[in-house]
Amino acid sequence: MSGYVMASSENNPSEHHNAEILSIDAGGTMTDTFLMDSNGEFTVGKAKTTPNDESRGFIRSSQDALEDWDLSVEEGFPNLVSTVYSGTAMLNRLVERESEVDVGILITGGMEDTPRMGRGRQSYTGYSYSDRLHVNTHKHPDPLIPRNQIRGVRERIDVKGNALVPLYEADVRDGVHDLLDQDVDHIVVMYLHSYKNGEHEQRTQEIAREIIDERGTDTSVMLSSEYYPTLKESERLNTVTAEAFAAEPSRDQLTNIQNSVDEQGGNVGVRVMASHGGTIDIHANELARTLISGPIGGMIGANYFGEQIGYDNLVCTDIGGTSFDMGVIIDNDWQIDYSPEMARLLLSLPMVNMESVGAGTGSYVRVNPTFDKIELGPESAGDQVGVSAVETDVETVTVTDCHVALGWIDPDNFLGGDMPIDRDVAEREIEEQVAEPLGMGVYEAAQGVIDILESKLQNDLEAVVTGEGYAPSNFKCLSYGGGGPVHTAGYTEDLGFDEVLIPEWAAGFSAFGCGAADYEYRYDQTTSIDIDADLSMEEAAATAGEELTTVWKNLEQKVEDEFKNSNIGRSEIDFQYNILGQYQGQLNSIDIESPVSRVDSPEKLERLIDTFEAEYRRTYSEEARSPELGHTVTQASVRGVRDVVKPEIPTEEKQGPAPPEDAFKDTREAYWDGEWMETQVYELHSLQPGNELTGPAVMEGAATTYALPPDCETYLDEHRVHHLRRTE
Amino acid sequence: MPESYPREHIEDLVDDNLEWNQLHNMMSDFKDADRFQKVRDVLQDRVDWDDPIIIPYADHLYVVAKSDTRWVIKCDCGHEFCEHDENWKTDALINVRDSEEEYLEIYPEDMHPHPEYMELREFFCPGCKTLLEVTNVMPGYPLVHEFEPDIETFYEEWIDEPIPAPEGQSA
Amino acid sequence: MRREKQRVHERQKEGKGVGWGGTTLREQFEELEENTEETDHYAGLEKLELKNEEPITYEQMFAQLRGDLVTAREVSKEVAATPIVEQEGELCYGLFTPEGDSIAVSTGIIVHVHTMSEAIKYMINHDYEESPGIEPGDIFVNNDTHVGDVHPCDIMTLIPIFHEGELVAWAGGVNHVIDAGAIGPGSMNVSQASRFGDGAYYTARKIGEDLEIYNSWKNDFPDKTRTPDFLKLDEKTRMTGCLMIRSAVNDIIDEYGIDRFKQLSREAVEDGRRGFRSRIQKTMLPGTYRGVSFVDALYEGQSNLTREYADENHIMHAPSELHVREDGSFQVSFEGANKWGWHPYNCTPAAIQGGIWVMLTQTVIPNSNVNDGAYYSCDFHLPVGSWANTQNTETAHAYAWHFLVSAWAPLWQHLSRGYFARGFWEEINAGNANTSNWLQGGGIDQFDKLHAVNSFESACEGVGARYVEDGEPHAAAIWNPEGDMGDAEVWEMTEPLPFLGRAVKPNTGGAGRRSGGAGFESMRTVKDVSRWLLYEMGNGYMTSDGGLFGGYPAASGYILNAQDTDLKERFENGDEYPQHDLDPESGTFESKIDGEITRRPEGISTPKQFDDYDMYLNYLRGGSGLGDPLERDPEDVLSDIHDGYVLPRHAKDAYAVVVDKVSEEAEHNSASHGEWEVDEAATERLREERMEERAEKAQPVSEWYEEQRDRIRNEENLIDDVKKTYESSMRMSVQFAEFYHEFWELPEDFEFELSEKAERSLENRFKSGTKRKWKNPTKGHETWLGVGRDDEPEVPYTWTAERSIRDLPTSTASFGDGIAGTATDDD
Repeated sequence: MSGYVMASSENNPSEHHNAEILSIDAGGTMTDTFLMDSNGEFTVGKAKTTPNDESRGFIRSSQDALEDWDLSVEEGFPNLVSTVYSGTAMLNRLVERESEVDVGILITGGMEDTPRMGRGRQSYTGYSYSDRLHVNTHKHPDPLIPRNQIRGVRERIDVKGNALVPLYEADVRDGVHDLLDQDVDHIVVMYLHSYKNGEHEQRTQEIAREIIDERGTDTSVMLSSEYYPTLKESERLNTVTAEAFAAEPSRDQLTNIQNSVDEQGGNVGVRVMASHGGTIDIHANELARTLISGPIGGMIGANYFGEQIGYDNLVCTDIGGTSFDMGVIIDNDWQIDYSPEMARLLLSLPMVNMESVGAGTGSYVRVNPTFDKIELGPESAGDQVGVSAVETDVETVTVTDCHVALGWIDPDNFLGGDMPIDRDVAEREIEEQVAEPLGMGVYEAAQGVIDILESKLQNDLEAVVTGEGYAPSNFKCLSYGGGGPVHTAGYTEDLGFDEVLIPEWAAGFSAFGCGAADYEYRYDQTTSIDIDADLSMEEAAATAGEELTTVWKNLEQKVEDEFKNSNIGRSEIDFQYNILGQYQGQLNSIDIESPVSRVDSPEKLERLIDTFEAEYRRTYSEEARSPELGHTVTQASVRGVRDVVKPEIPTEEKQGPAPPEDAFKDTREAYWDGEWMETQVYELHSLQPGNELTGPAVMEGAATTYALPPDCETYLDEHRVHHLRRTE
Repeated sequence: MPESYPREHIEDLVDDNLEWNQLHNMMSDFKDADRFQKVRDVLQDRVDWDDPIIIPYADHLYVVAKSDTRWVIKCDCGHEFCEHDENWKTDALINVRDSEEEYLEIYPEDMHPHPEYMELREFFCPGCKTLLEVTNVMPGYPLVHEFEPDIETFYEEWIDEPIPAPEGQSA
Repeated sequence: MRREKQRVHERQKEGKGVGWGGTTLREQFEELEENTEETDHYAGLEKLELKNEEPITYEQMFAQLRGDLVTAREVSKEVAATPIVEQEGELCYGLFTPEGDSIAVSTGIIVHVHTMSEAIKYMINHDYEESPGIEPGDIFVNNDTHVGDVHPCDIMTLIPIFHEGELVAWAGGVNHVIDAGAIGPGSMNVSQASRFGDGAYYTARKIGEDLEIYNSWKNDFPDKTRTPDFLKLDEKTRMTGCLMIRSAVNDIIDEYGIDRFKQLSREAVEDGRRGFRSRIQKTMLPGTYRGVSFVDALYEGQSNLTREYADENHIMHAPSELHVREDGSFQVSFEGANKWGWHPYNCTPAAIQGGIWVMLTQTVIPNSNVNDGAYYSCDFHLPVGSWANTQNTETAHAYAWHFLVSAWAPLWQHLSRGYFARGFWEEINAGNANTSNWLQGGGIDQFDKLHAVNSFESACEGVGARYVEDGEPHAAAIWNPEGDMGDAEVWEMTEPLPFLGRAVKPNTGGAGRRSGGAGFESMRTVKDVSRWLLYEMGNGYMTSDGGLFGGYPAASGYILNAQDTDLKERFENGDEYPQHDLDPESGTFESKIDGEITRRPEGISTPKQFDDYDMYLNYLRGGSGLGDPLERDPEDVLSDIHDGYVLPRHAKDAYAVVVDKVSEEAEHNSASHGEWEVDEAATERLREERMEERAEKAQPVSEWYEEQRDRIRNEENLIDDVKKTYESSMRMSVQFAEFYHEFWELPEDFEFELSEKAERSLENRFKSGTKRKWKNPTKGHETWLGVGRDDEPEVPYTWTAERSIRDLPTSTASFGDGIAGTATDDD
């Protein structure tokens, strides 16, 4: 389980390392460590995940990484200045619908079936395009909480926030007693429109706490008006329930991790990666924000990378075994999706917006017998690679098999030789499963598969960029993930990106990103602040402007309170203010970063509206603008960021264009666009900044292969980032 | 995609032993080429009689070969209805629900058809009394002959196989 | 674009049309029809050259086109204002050949795969190339259902795409608007008798050029509705999407060349045509499949009707016949359908065909290759003058879906019978639920604005039972498999109708070995409105979907309202109030409210006024069941009780399962509290007894037949509405009349005796004859009769027990121009 040093190939391995940044990702089976020292050099470690006490896996994985630098945990930990943890335990509780705790729900009377009815959408969330059409496949997932742990309380707050039905307090008492009889650990309270007026929920909490005290239990009461107070009851309820059901049980685990860091002499607060793209303290109120963190690490890393190097607009692309994840960074900021789907539940968590398509290097390749055409996925062999991986039991050809057949991947050196690959098997199976049914040659078919995948990725990528109202030429495309660099040239072809970049540490880029995440809290509040078209700017500022300002101030306070938990004062926090805005009557809003932190004057309000109009024109079109309808602010958000120590981007001296001799490995025949060509093979990590290569070439790294087709060239810059270019 | 599923898998399908995720996979995959033959063979094993099954006709019902020229519709209990191109319902037992009272056994008040506008006809197998079909029609509606399979075209042109016949009479 | 236009004008000076090679569009269209007919291959493409020679390029191009359509939909839908588009996704885009055949479609309401095709064909057939002209940058709109639409609230925008002076494709987008400007509020008003009450109709009209909408149009249509702002945003939505498609097509042409694009556009359709047949041959059995369905539209005694002669009850009679031919193609016939009616549920061919697509894509071809190719593998026989094809521009169509949804129920079963015979049991489904109730209305809303509402909770009905699993509860609608009921809080943003409860509704799914998926209900009150109207729309006296293989049909609908209530006082006093109507006969609702309570077993009401604190039940239907209910595992019946799918009393009656209540404590569901247990021994005994009862109670069909024959001959116990329906079908169809007479051995001159009113009603409608919309059709659209093949009867009617498909009679048309008469009225 040894780590590899990529960013510092020329350094003396016995040199002393001062481990500063520790980023740990505890997956379902393995816990990965990314460790960086004060010089920006880094290494990785691995250990088995230990679900019963995650701190053991945490320590062992850290140890594995530290050993590369001849350090023990006791020696390494005291120097740490930043420690970020992300785990899958929370998400697993949701996926498995199993938790250590029991949760009861008090809901607006009459709406008790809300979780089991679950929105029709949940019966096909996460399905492939064809299954979404194919109605026989639709099935509702189990609700998080069974119906008999849900009690109705008669009350109603209406859409304007007025009490239509008063709180029936006797219902609260009956409900609380019933749930306590069932020994629930948490009582979640969710009433309709409570995001707008939480009085009924608060009174419910008072009554419940009285009863809990009387009965001497340690049940907690959680209100949807305090956690995630956003419009849409099913999403709000799912989220606050997930907080109780999946996130709360992790608090002990996280405390254990903090304790073991402390015991080993560490003097650093463990932070957790959150879906909104920042890290939060393990004592944060809304811990369910950390349910989803893994895939967004890359986006955060890309953004950080862009900030450091001076790239404002980036398209991030990450290819793994099963999926292709894409995201857009504009002016060094990402976009937020406010209703992501996770574990087949709709949630109301702010999450870094990424598009994911079910196509990766492990995707199955099959011939549709109805149309005699090649189809990819949506199922995949995942980390089982393909039929050519003889130690696995994969039976269906995958994309990687095609690469093997075409000579792009060295059968003897896949994943550094850890995975035995048989090229003959790949060719035989491609022949049988793909080429023969289509009446094609085997290499032609293999090439065809890759072309189809790459043009699909190209289309999806283009859609993500143009869907935001931009052209690819506004962006640099960053390609990472273990499977990325082998396809980069293919899926970026013809799109016209400003530049195509491949960091040499592509395979470890997501872990790098987690280490680069800010310390950040963000709070969102659903609003319905109308800025009517017939008001003067003065009138609007005095009404709508004041209202929005008040909401922002409240959210600011919440952010401040969270930081206070970690003894961080207001002066250390950078605030950012956002709104979701729309034309009156619309249902969809767009996310605007406000140029002002208060809108209590006509000038400031005008600046905010101007920003909205510019964004709307760009996103949809001039034809789609409708300012004559007036505007509505549907959500206000405040983000508070506090600086933390980040990984260094390596900067090395440039050498000449010719690669050093020891970087050259071999030549072999590979198939490029219908032709077998002699192809040079290099050791990826032995190339030097300043080196230039012309295709056809293949660069083999420890966990990734970078393919350079004949009409391409690449240049390695001083940050160990490859720049891919077409030669024509 | 399996070109064909193992026989055990098809047995599980017929015997209702598959888990939802297996069923979902079968729905999502391309269709296996030999499903018909596999299902027919499993069903042939499951029935207590020897007449070769030509096609599964409806739940519990089959078209079977009595000779190489005579095909009849037969229930899995052994009851034989009629020639394959006739309406088996004319040989069935029938019960008609056409009153409020009879509707209320199945449906709550106001949630059933109005008896003057629509009746439920329940058709039972005279052999095993299994409810084979329920039709909801206006009073006075003729019996509907739901399915007339074109067996010759199917066997000869679609799957290119001989039509099953009793032993010694193979077509 | 100016250059593009110039190019067209230059060619016009040379006497050239915008068709390929300088022909006119109409010539090009006629040639395509000819080539298709002669070769039985789309456009005469016996070989798919591009696909065969450059399969990878072909796939890349197709995938890119489809991806662009999906993107256009995803992006543009955010511009819209109604939950109908934004939440429910009732928005769809297509790319069409110059002749109007769809090459590829986005996700969404795929029903419009073909409706927009018809609108384009209409423009070509009616020489739009000459006037008003089809030029680069033109914008057309259509919502005329006789031209190509399901109902007028689906509005489509069509934009031609040019290259070097030739028309190379059309981009089209369609969405469901919230108010159609009908005589009642909402998109699908129900009280009108004719087209003139349906709302505003626009027949394939040019509304702009140079990609600019005319000022003369901008406020024209929106201001004919109650929700002009919503309609303007909807139009911007469709424009945004169409422009994205236009630029995507230009990119593809730049990348692959115009010749490849033209070739692809043809081959994709032919490929779709072949794919459909191939899929059918792999999964179905050739032969004839039959079924019949009915639905009620009761107007007798309704208030607010626009015409006295509309004060009558209608029943839709949909005999459904499917031939699966030896080549895998479909022939679908509704021969025997009865006459259209003075209600807004009539259909046009575009509606029927569009509707069938959305269904077939859910079962037969659920993949990305959906296009008009499948249309070329299906022939439709839609009797002219029936509800399925009125060919009469006086008829109303606002909610054609009421009949469409009902008429398709047997089609699910045809497919399921084929899947059963073929062994693909995982695909079997007993059918779709009737997608109602439709909660609609309008008036001055909670924000003091004139507003209309149209709840799409109906996009989330129970689904019919699968063979391998129960039907999915509250999950889909036949016209949109991606169904969703939406959040209550979101509906309350646009509807002044606060929810007092929303729950799974027991006994809505049909009983069976596999039960139909349950529907649900929402109990709504009314708040902060003035002069507010609401109405119901759904089935009531009839259930339109049937059970399969011994399963029972789903429950039918009913209406429950309360007006002039004491709800406000009850809230103030902390008293009981109704949250549900889970068991309508329990009296619970009535015990918790005082007021004027309307509880009726019908499904349709015309707009009536509601005030604050009135109540309205929105009941969304369940799906039908499959298999003998006595074969259902008793433990599953127990779960049904605990899950609120079945009321305890029906365990015994419907399933012969004996359950005992063992505790009052548990609250498993909203419908029936308590913990129950199966008494296994008693259940076994009861099931044995039930089998004996069946034997005793049931009679041989031969005996029943004789009784029934006498009943019909003597017209005993048959109500006027039923007899009127039979007479209407027999007058429409010689074949149905013969079949009916032969089946019941009736005298040749037998006719049902009708009341004077019923007789007048039939006469009134039959005399209206036809008033066709298509004045200038090419061959393919000359008539909706001539769609059969030479070796099949034009009217493939085989409704007899004696006949089999192998000895079909010779070709005869059941009706032609003979019945055309003068119109009698005109609202």
